Amino acid sequence: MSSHYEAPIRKPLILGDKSYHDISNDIARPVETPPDKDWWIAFSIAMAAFLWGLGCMAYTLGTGIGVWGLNKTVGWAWDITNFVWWVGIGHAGTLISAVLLLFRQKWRMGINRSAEAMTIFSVIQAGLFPIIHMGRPWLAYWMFPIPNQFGSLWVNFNSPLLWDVFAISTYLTVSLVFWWTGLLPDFAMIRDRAVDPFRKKIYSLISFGWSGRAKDWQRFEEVSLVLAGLATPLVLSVHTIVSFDFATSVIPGWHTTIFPPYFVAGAIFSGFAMVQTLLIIMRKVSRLESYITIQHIEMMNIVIMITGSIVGCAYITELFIAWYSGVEYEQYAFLNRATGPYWWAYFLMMSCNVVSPQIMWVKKIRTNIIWSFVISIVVNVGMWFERFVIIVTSLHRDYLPSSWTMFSPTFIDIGIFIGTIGFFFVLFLLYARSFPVVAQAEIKSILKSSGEKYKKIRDKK
Amino acid sequence: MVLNPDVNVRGRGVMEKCSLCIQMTQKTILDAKKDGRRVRDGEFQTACSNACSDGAIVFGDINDKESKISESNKNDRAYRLLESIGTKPNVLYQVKIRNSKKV
Repeated sequence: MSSHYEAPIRKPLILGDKSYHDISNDIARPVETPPDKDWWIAFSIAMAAFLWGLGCMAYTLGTGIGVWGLNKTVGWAWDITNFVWWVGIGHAGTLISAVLLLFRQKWRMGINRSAEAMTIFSVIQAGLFPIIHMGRPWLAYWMFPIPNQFGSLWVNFNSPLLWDVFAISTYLTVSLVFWWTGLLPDFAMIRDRAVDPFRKKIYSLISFGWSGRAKDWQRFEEVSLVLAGLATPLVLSVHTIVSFDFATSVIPGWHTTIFPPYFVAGAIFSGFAMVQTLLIIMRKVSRLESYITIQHIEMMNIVIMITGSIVGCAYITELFIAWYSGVEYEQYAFLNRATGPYWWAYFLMMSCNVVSPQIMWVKKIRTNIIWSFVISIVVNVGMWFERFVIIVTSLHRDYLPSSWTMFSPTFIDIGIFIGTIGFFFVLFLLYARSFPVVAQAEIKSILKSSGEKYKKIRDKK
Repeated sequence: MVLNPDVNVRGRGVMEKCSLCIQMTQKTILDAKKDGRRVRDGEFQTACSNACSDGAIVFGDINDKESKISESNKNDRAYRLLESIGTKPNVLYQVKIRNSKKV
């Protein structure tokens, strides 16, 4: 990529009359200026939600899982729904950072930093649930294969629940390393502009001595490619392992081989929707519309449309196979989903996930900010209900009618979920004011090829 | 339950989730080990098999080819709950013998 040429037909990825210095100023501004009233209002709400959730988790820890709505046979409900929802959301960030890097999609540069931040924060939320849903969370370390004297107590390698432990921890670790590596030149920029000695010290520490020499950049590019190579299989494998929590069981509606691709597509679907929600707000609030352009929004909408269609196909496949298999348990599982006591959740799932992404075929809609925002919320709600439907409807009525039961959440279930949303936004809001939210070093590398000012000069010739 | 000191095994009177009297089974195995012999058929007992005087509940080592429980297993009357799923539970039931002309 030595020349700065880009075909005129490609839309500019950096709008306006930006120079390198403009980029530095724009991206550093939210970090260097104190937050405004809107930020404080949002932060207070998020903090309140987080503290409420923390209280609910503490209550659960002290009193026991009985404070949740779980009972036989519904042993998993909001806890695992939330776990899968949060993990799924995380997948978009890794796809944008890693997969789009390997595919040389330059449009990823405006969004990858925030998308990857979203991934880290959502995986943190996801990781809370396997721990708090244990009866004895203080023994959570028993999940790790550490030689011991308890007889010895060994983990069950046959169990997908254990594979989850490894998959999620690997995912969190690799994502963190990838994110932090990309942040080094950007932290260095803040460090170099910093006047306040405390700020300078902190940013010097976290930029790991980045010097900006050509050698640093060369290593940076190499490491990014290696990490992208490591992270790409994770996009597919992590949610596959999560789907195995269900697919390796014997429950009708769960025991199906379509789950791995279905879950991965669903994860990317909901992840991109969450990225949209966050970025549409952030680009307005932090005045980054020149870097996160309508083109970026449109590309993400197209991904949402494609993955939403895959998910829709999966739904139809499940229904078809349930009928075609002739297995009455499987057939009843789906009949119950559509017509049983949780039909409303199924209906929400179908309308939010199958119908709403299809309207993105219309260009006017997928390039419209308001519509994009609305659909992103709708998709996230729909995907939460998808996990709820899969888990609760299959558990509450399985093989033996004498065991059939109903589930309803307690205010602790709901409180913990709201708490994780609060925690997520606390983290994201803090990130937005202390980290450069756009990969400004990477964006600078495409300014002369894809920046509007330079394209205008070049194309006029 | 074997390894968890916090959960006490009730003396009598309260039925929790059936552990197939793992503590009694473990004691039987350890007693036999101390005596340097194999566990005899009929030595394995659970609280319910002990309590039932009619012999309706039989507990034993299904890997022992000569045990009573192995025979019951091979019998045509034997079935397990939701057998077709293939989870092979450790609890066998026997079909009631009915006086009927149908085969």
